[in-house]
Amino acid sequence: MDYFRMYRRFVIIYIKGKLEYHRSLLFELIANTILIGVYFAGFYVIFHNFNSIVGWNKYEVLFMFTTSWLSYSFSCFFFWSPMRDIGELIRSGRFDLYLTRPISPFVYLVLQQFQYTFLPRLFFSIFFWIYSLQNLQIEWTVITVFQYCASLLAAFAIFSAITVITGTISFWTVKSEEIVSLLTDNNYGLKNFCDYPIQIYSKEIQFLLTFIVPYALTGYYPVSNLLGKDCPNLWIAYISPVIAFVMVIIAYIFWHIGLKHYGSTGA
Amino acid sequence: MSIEVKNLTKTYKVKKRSNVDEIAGDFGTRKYSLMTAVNNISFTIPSGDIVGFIGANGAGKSTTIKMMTGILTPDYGTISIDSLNFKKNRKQIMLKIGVVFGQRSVLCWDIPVIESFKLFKDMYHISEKAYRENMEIFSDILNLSEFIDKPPRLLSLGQRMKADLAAALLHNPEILFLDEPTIGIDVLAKSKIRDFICKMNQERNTTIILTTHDISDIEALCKKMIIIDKGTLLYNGTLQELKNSYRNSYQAELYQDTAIENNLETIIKNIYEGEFL
Amino acid sequence: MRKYIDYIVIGIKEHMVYPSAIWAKLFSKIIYLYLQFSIWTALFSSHSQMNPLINREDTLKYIIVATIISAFIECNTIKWINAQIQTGNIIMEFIRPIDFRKMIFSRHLGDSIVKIIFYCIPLSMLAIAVIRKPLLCQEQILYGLLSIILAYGIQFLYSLIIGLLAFWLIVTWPLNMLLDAIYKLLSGAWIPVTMFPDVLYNINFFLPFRAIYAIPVTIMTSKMSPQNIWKDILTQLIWIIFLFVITEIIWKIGKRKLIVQGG
Repeated sequence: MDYFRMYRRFVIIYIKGKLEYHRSLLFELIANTILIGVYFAGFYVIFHNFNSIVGWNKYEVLFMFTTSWLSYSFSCFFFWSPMRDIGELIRSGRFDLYLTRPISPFVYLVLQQFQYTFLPRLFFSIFFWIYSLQNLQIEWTVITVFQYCASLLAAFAIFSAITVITGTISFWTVKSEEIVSLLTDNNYGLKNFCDYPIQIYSKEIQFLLTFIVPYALTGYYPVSNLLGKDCPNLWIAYISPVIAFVMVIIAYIFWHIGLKHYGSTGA
Repeated sequence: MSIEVKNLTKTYKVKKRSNVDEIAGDFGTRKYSLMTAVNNISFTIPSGDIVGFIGANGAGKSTTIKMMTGILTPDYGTISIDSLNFKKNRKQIMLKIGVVFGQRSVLCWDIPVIESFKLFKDMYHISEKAYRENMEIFSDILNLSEFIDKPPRLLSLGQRMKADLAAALLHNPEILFLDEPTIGIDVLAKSKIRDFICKMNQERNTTIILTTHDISDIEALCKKMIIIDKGTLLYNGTLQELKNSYRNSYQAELYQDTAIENNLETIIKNIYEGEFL
Repeated sequence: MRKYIDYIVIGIKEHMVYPSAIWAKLFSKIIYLYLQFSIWTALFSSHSQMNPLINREDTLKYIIVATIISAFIECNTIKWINAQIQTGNIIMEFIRPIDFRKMIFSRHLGDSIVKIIFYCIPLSMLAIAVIRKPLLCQEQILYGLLSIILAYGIQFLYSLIIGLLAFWLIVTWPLNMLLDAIYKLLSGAWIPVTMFPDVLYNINFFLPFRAIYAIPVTIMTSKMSPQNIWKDILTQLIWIIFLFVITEIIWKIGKRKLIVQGG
């Protein structure tokens, strides 16, 4: 299967389709830019009043969550939209069309779009990532660079796996969006918790964020490790690739179970 | 190229909701009753046939079609397309079939039709030569050049259906499934579409399965018919035989020759109502 | 009059269609409350504050009360209007012999009733059970309630104006989202406005947003002098009148220029 050729075709189609509505595209990008900008503005306001939180100063916190957001943005480029749309596709019956093609429906769904609305988030993250790095003294060695990059990749896998799992739920429930957004929403969900060092939460929540919905592995643990923070379970940072791998397997299996369920009930 | 369906069975669980369930929502308990949508159906469709699928709404017809196109998996029974089955050779089968849904377009909604064609060219590994040939033939009969550069949302229903049809046949599938292809389409476009279907069947020996409520479609296109009602196969044979046996069975009841509407529509209505057969 | 009560009932029913959505929303509010509480507690416990004017108790009370009342002040009128415009149903609403704005308000009222019952009350009980200290400033509760009612009106009018502007701009979710974000920051729903850097604080002083959260929540939770309370309530009154006038103007002009995106 010449996926590259097909992907190129999908990209051309997608871009042409979006350029049809270029005004709306521009507006979406502006809106997202302001949205993300406001978040950073809020962050600035908070640290205008406080020097640190549980021993992390503002540059450290900034570095931590921009690390996480870098991977998150990339993951969302590919997986956010299809998994959000699945519910509607199933309800309208259009999902059937994806099943009659000689490529897997998952691949089709992912290849046919690119969620450019996360570009502002990515750019802001890069900008503030650099900004925070300039204000931190980090001892970069070959090992730490390698560890950091590995954790970025692991974070990408974790975010993607969680997105796919939450999308797969649509195969069973009709109105899954609200429940899903509990986990994944950018402003009011669990994911928000990991924009701050997780020590501020109870032990149970920390456990949840580390082992069950491992958002903490995407920013907190790798950066704690890098900055030499006094973090209780630092060894977890080293196993994040393993957990990421496990999550991907779970997501893969779960997706196929969901497909099978759709095939037997037509939802 | 032939389709063999054996002992096909599909049961649905239908939820029964009590008031308590309403309040608890998705977290409530579920009681189910079982409804058999398709009950032990078997038939064979030889290659090159144009077969009309008829059944009242909810009769199990669309469930059967969905199983034949690989969308649903049967609870029991087998479907083999050209000796291949969906479990083992799904991708191969997909490369050999084309599907057109009357109610939902397969094309990308906002971009020119031609771009969707190019996508399918890549997706189905169509050679440049075959692609060009097909585009020429299709443009000729279906008048594609009129709208090929426009996105589906700007097309009339007839134009959209022509585009869908062309898209489905681009990769020269051996079997074409048409689900309500002429619904809501004007007479002129309908006749063009029918001509096109006939031509494809004659020139390429494409097996065509046509689901429709439009009896005139069936009369125009199909030699054979399959009637499904309440999940069971009621009839599988040619149109002519159906009409003959109808005429025979009612002639015995003193109907005058001229008074009988030797009319497929009446025959089918009677079948739905449970008479005959 | 009857028909408006009907719309209140419709607003109630519309919100109750999916029980799982209500549970999910309640949980998300609880999660958010926990998040805010954790963050601010941690910030104060680090003893690293640079602003001597703020203290832990007041801030925590503020955050908790702000989150609880946000559960019902939040207005999804904009979303509703946008949905109606997209499907074209908006025409139906204009054909009816009923004032569009009063109809929307009634709907919103019904929606808010459901929200108070299913979100605010459980959240309040939870907060009281966990915190075990008085959240509200007893003497000022009546003023606080008045202030909340005014804030509710301001929020509604603001949403209505944005929704009506959608007629002209045929804009969908981006406008909604972006205004939500700005509003969330400037209204004091997320961070108390007293913490704003001077420049921002001064600009924000002249905007209506702080009248929606900052003013009522402060009246409810911290002891204020009677003059200040009256000053704040007066500010809210001014904003309500101002926004109401703008609504009228936009309504008159917008009614003429009705652009509907057909199916």
